[in-house]
Amino acid sequence: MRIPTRLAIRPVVLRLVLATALLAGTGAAGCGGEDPSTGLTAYLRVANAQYEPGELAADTGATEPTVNTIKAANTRVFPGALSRSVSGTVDQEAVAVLIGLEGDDAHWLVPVGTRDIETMVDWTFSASLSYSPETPTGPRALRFRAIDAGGNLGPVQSLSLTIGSPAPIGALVIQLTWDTEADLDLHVRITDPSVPKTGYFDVWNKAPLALPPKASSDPPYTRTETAAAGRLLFDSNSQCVIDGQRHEEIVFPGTVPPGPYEVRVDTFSLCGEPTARWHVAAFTNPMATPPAVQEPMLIQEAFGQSNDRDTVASHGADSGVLAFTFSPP
Amino acid sequence: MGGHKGRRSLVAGLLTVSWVAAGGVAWAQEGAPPATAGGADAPAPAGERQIGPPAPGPTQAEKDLLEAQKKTAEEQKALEATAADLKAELEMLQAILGAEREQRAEEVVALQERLEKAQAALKKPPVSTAYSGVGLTGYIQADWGIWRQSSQDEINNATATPLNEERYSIRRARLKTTLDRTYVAGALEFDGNTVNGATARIINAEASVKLPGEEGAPLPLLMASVGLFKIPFGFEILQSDRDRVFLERSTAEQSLFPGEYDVGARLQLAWRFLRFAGAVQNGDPIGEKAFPTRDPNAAKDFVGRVGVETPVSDTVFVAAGVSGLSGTGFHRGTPATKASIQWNDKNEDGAFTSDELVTVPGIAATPSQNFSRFAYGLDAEITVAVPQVVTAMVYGELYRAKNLDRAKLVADPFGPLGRDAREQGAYVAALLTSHDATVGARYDMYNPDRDSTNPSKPLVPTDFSYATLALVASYGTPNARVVLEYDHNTNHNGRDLMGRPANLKDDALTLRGQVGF
Repeated sequence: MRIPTRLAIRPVVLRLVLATALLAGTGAAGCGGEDPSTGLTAYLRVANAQYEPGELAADTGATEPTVNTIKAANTRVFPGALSRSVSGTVDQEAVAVLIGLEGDDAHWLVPVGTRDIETMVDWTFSASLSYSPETPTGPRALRFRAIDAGGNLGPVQSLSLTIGSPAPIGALVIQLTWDTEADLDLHVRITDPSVPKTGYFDVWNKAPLALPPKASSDPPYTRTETAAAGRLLFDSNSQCVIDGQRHEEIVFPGTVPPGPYEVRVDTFSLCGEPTARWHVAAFTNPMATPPAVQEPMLIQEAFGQSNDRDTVASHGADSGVLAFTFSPP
Repeated sequence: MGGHKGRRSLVAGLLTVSWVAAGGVAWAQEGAPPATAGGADAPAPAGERQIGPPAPGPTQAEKDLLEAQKKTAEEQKALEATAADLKAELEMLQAILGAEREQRAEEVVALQERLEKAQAALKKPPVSTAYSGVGLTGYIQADWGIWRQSSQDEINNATATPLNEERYSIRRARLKTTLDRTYVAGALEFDGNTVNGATARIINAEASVKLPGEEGAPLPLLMASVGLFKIPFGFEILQSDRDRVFLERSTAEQSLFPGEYDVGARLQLAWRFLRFAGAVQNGDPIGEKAFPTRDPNAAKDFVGRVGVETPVSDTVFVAAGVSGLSGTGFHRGTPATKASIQWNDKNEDGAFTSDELVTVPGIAATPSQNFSRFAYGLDAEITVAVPQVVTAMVYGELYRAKNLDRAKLVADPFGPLGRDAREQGAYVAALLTSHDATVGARYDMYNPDRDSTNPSKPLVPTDFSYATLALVASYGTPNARVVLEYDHNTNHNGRDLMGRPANLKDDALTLRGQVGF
């Protein structure tokens, strides 16, 4: 059957129009909505809040709505700190609060909660804050700005924070850090001629105290002695129970045995990870007077990478790869 | 044939000559009077009448007759001698002809046997399809790990895997279906193995449109494909597992391109001696440890090879190429964790005391990040074939890369070291094949971190390099072959008594049986 040319063209044109409309509709739909970013690249993360790109600016000309009160349990935080609560009240016109860290590349929008039971006028807000492990140490302002239904931003209210060093305090610290959720263990062998037969003793997760073993006939160490001794603080990702710390330290708070010391890294398990890259360092980081953020003094360090082959071992006291040996200054 | 005809004509001619000669002898015997019937000295027979005076001697006619008889007798002798010669020659020719016939018959029988064998080999399996151009191939490689130095009758408790490597295993069991038509092609291949327990997985699945090349050309002029296919980089990756005599690829290849297959789109060009293949792929090969065949970031890897493949004479074939890769790797972030309490038995009495509790705070998540990576490589191959005698093949490859190790010592510049990992690898191999027997050797080395000796950031171990010398002997064709390989491995995976990195004894002897169709 012969189709008139005009009728034959019509379906083609119709399809083109429909396709264009579909594309335009899809494009329009893609333009709307909020930023889907997880915000993990920001120093500050706020649970159950909307991510907003860009630093929260301090607009000096703004007047309303205002943030009236801010409460925080602790203003000293450390990089990686999790679930630090903050709360406060805002003007009755406010519908949400913007929270951001000074110098950060993002901030967060938190809706207001219930009426403040004290004033019965203001709105309350609360948030659970987390800080990236990469957050730079030092003093830093936590900024708050209220926002009303019309999108008007109020003035900035700040809470001064101190981002503390994660390095432990001690006359001698031996620290192991690594980058994946594997179970690595820090082993340190301390030379001590008083130890019978071997002339050394090991400090590791099965013997966390840096004290030479006593003969069974000798009285045990007193609580004062054990408190003053160096020790392994904890065993991270032990048995692949992931705690996310990925660091272990042996800290000598006061007296430091003369050594020399052998520092080893044992890969107990990669816990399903393809590899683990580690860094082990010995440094001094004595308590400053008065307490302040300070940089530790490095004695020696080494880097390494563990693979499947490193997990094949007895994982006893003398296991692991030798990272370095040193004598304390 | 002409020779045979000539020989037949000669025989016929000789027979004719013999016959004629024999007739001549007969004629001479019939025509000539017997020598004893009369002669110059013979008395006249009794009763015969004498006319005229008796002749003083034989008449002229008698003399002529005697002369003629003498001549005839000489000719007869000569003809008899010729006939005897001809008869001997004829017998000799008959003997030669008989021997030739016998030999030809034997050759025919041998050819028939070979033909039957070839026909049996070519006999199609009873598989049919509704479409033309469909092919079905497959092969099995079964290994016997006869001996390995690092093998232990123990379990790696971290991974719950056995440390024993002296075992039987199915290294590869492949089944491949192909479609090849004028303008479209496709492949679907499944792999089964027991390397880490019985496994079946898809390994090759590609759909292509193509522009055929000149008639008889082995490859299409132009082909565009999409699917799961081999990464077009270098020589070794693209070499068939079925054809390769060495049991496995080099350490560098296994580290930089683990599994060889990746998902993406590819364009191939084959014009005369020129070869080009370029692909856009996920960048996460099937053998990668982190995200095999998936892609955790939107960025794709661009990879390709340009090369030449051509015979330079009847006996010499050369191939060479340059490859490159530019892509984006992925550093995985870590999740947030909750606060917890840990008990450390400080005084090792097995009982809890209050000062043995340690609080472990929760920690925030860290973000994932992308990083750039690249690789380039050079490959060359030369094959010299002396027909029916020996074929010698020498080939080698060089790899240089940055942040590309995805299996051995996985590269990640965002680790504690905070720098790029620069990899380098190479190998050279030689194979000598005579009929179905092959012997060969390959030396390969791989260093996953060329900067590990940098004293500013001391690494443990300071040298991560691997090297392997593989000696191989095989008999058979890819359709039925036995391969014996000895690998001398050197590495830095061992630990000495002080805990320092040392070579871990890891030499291995493996026997492989392979059959295919």
